[in-house]
Parts: sequence; C-alpha cells; structure tokens
Amino acid sequence: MKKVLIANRGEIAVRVTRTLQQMGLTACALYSEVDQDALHVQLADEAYALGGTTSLESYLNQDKILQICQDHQIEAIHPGYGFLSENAAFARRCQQAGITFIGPNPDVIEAMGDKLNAKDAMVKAGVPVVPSFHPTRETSLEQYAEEAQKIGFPILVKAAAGGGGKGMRKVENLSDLNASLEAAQNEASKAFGDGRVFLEKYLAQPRHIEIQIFGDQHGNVVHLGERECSIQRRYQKVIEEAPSPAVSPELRKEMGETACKAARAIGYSNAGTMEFLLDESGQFYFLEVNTRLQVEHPITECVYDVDLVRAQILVAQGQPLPFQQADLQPRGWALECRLYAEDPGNHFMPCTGTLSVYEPPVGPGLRCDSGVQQGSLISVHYDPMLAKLIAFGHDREEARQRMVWALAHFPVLGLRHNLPYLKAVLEHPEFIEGKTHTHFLQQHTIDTGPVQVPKSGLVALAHFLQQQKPAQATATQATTPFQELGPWRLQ
Amino acid sequence: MKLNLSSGPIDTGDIPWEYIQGNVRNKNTGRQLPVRVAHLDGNRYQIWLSGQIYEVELASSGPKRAGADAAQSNERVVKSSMPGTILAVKVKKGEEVEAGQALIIMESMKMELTLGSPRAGKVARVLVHPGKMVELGATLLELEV
Repeated sequence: MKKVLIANRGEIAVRVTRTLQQMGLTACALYSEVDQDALHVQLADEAYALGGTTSLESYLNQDKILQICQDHQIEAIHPGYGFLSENAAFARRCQQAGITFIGPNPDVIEAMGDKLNAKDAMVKAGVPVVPSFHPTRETSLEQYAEEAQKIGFPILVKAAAGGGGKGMRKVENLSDLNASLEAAQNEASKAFGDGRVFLEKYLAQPRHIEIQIFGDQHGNVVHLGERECSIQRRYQKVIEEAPSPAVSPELRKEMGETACKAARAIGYSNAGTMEFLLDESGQFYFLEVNTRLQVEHPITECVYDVDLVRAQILVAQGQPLPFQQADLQPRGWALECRLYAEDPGNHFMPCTGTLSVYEPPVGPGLRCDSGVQQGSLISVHYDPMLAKLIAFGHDREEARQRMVWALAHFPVLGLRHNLPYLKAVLEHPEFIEGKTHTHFLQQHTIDTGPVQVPKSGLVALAHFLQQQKPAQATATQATTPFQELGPWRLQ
Repeated sequence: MKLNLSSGPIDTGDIPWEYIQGNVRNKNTGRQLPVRVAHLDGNRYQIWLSGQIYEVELASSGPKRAGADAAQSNERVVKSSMPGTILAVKVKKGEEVEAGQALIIMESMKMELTLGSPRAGKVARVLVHPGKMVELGATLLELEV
C-alpha cells in the first residue's frame, strides 16, 4: 500500500493525512468546489476535484471517488467519519474494485448500521440492552401504545437507520405518542430513506459511556477502555473525556470484555466503538456500534499512547494488531472539546463567515485537530464543527485546568461559535466534580460571562478601524482617474 | 480617536491603555493583555480580550429605523434565524394561521428547524420555496397587518 485516498474533509481529513505522511504513505485529498482552498487540500500530497457543492454531489459521490482511485493508482480509501464511512454498499464497491476500504468488512458495517439488527446481534452475544419494542410493518397504533405502556413512559422514539439525533423523539406520555411517531417517521425517511422507528426506555440521568474496540483480520480483538461523552446537546456530543469518572477498573474490565466478546461474535475487524448508557446503579445497556473511527478518538490515543489511524492502516494491510490487551493500560486523563460554528446566544444556530482570527493554543498537554485555519471560509454546506481541542494531564483536574487555559488562549473571531460556552461548562462546579450525565446541558444554566467590553478593548477596536480606513480609501481612489494621480494633484 | 458606538460616543484618547502589536498596554502599570479584533457583520465587531469575546456595535450613519424594524419583525415578518435551505413551506398566501403554527421548515448543516407564526393572522406573502437557499435574517414570509 503506497497511496491512500481520504474520502472526507475538515479536521479528520487533516488528521488522517498527518499519520499517512508519518508512515511514508502518499496522502490523497478530495475536494468539492467550495473546498478547493481548504486546509486538508493544502496539506495532502495529492488532491483531486470532485466538483459540486452539496455533500451528495461531492463527498458522497461514489462513482466519482472510485473513478479517481482508478485514474490515479490509489490502493486504499480511508473514509474518516460521517459521509461514506458506514456505507456498506460503498465498502463493497471498493472491495470489488480491488481497493482496500480502511474499516470493517461490508457485511459487518451493514449488520451494525441497522440499529434493530445490531441490537438483536448484541442480545444473542449476551450484551445487556435497554428495554425496547421493535415494531413490524403491521404494527398498529394500538399496539405501539400498549408496548409503550409496558416499557413505561417517558420513552424514546428512534429511527432504525438513524444517527446524530435525527428521527429521535422523547415522549412524555401516551397522548403525545401518535404525533411523535409520525414526526420521527417523517424525519427518518427524509434523512435516511428509511422511515422505520422503534421504541426504547428513556433513562433518567444516564452517562454515555463508549468502549473503543479494535480487531484485526486474524480474529484478535482488544478494547482500549472507555470514553465518556455525556456532555451532549440534542444528542450531539460536545465534550468528551477518557477515562470516565464513573468507571472503576472493575467496571472497565467488565464493559471492555463484554464489548470484545460481542465484537468477536460478529467478526469485527479494524476500529469500532460500542456505545452504552450507564445508569446511576452501575448497570450498563448497549446502545449501538459505530463501525468507524469516532470523532473523539484522540482522547483514547492520549490515555493509551497509541495512534488509532496508524493501527487502522496496519490492520487493513492484513497485519496483526500492533498492541495486545495486556499492554493496554490507561495513563492519565484526557478531555476533548468540539469547537462548533454555532451561536449559543441564538439557539445554537449554525453560523457562517470568514474566520478572520484563528490562533490555536500551544502548551503542555495540548493537541488541536483543526480542519480550518485563519482566513478559512465557513459555508452552510457541511458540518459546523471547526476543530477539536484536546487536553491531557496526569489526572482529571490537571487535564481540565489545561483545557480551561487553552480555551482562554484561543482567539477565534469572524463568526460566532461555542468556545465561550465550552469554557463555561468546564468551569461549572458539577462538571469539576465529575457529576456528568446526558441531560447535563439541559439541566444546568451555562453562564458565558460578561458582555460589557472593558475600555481597553475599545482602544484595540479604534486601532483596528484606523487600520481598515486607508485600505478602503485606496480602494475608492482607484476608481477615479483624478484620484489615481494621488498626492501630486493635491500639491 | 472618537468611536461612535450604538450605546453612545466614546473618545479612546481618554482611556489609559494603548494598542501595541496584538496587545493593549496599560499606560500607568505597563500591564499587557492580548487582544484581537474582527468584523462580525453589518456594524458589529468582535473583540477578543484576554480570553473573553465581546461584541460591539457602531452607531449606524443612516437614519435610525432599527427600532421600527424590530417592532415590525416581531409582529408581521418571519425571518430566517440561520443561513440554510428551505425544506418545506407549510402554508399558502391568504391562509389563516394561528400563533405558533408551523409555517416553514428549513435546514442548515445538520440541523432542521421549524419556524412558527409569531401571532395569529393571515399570510400576506410567501417569499421562498422549497430548495431555496437563504441568508441569516432573510425575510421568508409576511403576515397581513
């Protein structure tokens, strides 16, 4: 394997590029029309145009991507996360074209992509699951109501083919059930082309705990402990940490072995994540399997001192796992914050514009995986995540202090974003104590601090406006021939 | 320099700080704080000062109609609260709507948003159609006065 195509954009394309180059491989980038000047394109060794602006026209265009591989002797594809990363049909087409798809085999992707299927497989493997009801096409509204009452309200209506919170509804009582079913089905069929939904028990204050698993093509499977991703907003993760303050070494071992057993049962290879909910009594329930590298993989890399992308590539080449379970001991603590171009002051609406100031911090125990740089244009076309800031330290408090410092030394201007919000969450007393759960952001008020600018800031604004003036004046001057004569005419 | 802020004018010459290459320095104590400034939109600017972000609005040079606009938009006009694409328009011109009734569904990046009617009334004009891309603050629909 010499040339690897990264079928993605943004920070993950940049991150994969770095490992490929470190391994002496040629990193090939793809880009849509709006991304031609993007960071991932600048850093790659080769870059190929996909055309188009929407995801469908560009990063989801399977024909075009496979054609580029053929035309440029590309031997493998790293799909990143999102886009085609969990598309079994695409993985299969790669296989047929003799291109290595860096991920699990297509059958596993397919089986785990359907949440109902995945759950059934987990039950068979002896993994505990959240009480739920899986309807058939013939299920009547009366049956739904009956089953919902059996599970007990509140319940969740979830899309069978879903992800990212789409097609998901919380239902408080029976009278809201029919409307929520309809809304979830509509949203699911629009988002995934599959309107099937199912019912699931809603847990009051669970933690989101996920286990990183890794398998090779020789039947070896290991786990790399847990990540806690309880700080979520509308089912989108915002802050993650590894390890979890709620997981003891014994529980880690139990959850890890459960995940490995299930992974072996389904013949898992390459990187994957098993998501669980952990309730206050310490009982864990399987949620879903993500058959790809996760956004939050860097915190696992920090506490286990591994490069998961490197391991993915080695395993995809047919090599045995580069680490054994006995070698994998967590050390220290890592936190990740996702920087989103979303306005916390306006219902987290996505924001667009030019990042006129963007200066990621450097310092002890810090890593910043950016998909953008100063001057980047943030458009409406793709995910609003700009970067991930990762801080690690000897213990949770050291990691947290480093993160707070990093967020306070990270100027990002030109559009609104959630960085002040992230800092406020990290400084919240309940977060400091590790009392996190998936409803944390709904239940706590996050105060982002003063809004009245200190007078010293106005001095800087005055300087900024003065700097802009001559530039504007020159621009206007160039429009009339008299002014083009410049100072000579004035004299 | 005289700054004409929307909150009132201020002379920065009276402030005991000066700007020096990415920092402001206190003229009395010599203390320096890192600072960055950027244009946000319209008359608004962002100031990053020592880890905090502030927004400052300059007074607009044109005639003052901001107040009138705001009152109008609350009552009669539905504007996009994010840049994005219109997915569906749930009502037609001339239709009677109730307060809070879903009028328009739009999408941006990964988010879907339903825009409800600000009050009960009759739809006067629909300015968008499914598939149309709109900017933040674009007028999408108007109710009759």
